[in-house]
Amino acid sequence: MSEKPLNYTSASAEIEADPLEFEETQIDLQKAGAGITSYEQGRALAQAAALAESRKPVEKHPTMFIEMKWVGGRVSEERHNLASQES
Amino acid sequence: MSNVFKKAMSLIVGDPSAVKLTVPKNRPLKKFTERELLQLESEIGSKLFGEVPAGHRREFFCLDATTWIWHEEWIDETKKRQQMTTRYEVHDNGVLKVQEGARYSYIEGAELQNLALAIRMYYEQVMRGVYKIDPHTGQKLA
Repeated sequence: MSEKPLNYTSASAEIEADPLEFEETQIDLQKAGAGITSYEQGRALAQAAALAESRKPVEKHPTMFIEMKWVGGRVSEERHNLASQES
Repeated sequence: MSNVFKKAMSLIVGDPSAVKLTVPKNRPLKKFTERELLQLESEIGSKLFGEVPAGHRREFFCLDATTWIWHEEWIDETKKRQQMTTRYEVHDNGVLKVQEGARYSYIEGAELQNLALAIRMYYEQVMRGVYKIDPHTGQKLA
């Protein structure tokens, strides 16, 4: 059990600045949760955890997303071109 | 055309004509409007996720370069008509799923993989089936 106090404000700021810190911060929050002794600490932890969750990074598949956009653009373009020929 | 699809289409692209679209063999494809072409795409898209359960109606189509729409309607156990509309927005770092009630989240895992696969299949089948274009070469099919 960790008795080390956590600076919740600092943790929140870090998450906001860099969402990729989510996993490390989440671990820190779990450790900190074991040492909660007051309502204020609990509320601060809950707020920090909620912020961390909201900043959770999505899976990184840049090639997949590029392909999705390309397909969407290509189909839309063909649809528009074909309809324009008739108008 | 289903009510939910008409309603969703009216919200997205305006007032749709209430016509069930199929491609008559003797009708030149160029006679279709952009909206009608989109509906033809959706007929293909609705079948990409497997068999539609009995009593369900499904629509899936590409609205524009970064937006994909899923509609589903069904009759629940109390005989009430239910419907769900989901919009998928493709961003540089993920796909944002937007549903009614201001619910939104980036999709992950199997849902993301399934959507990616469906989009790939949509491209293959829509380019061949609707636009008569080879999806690999970009050339018109004979």
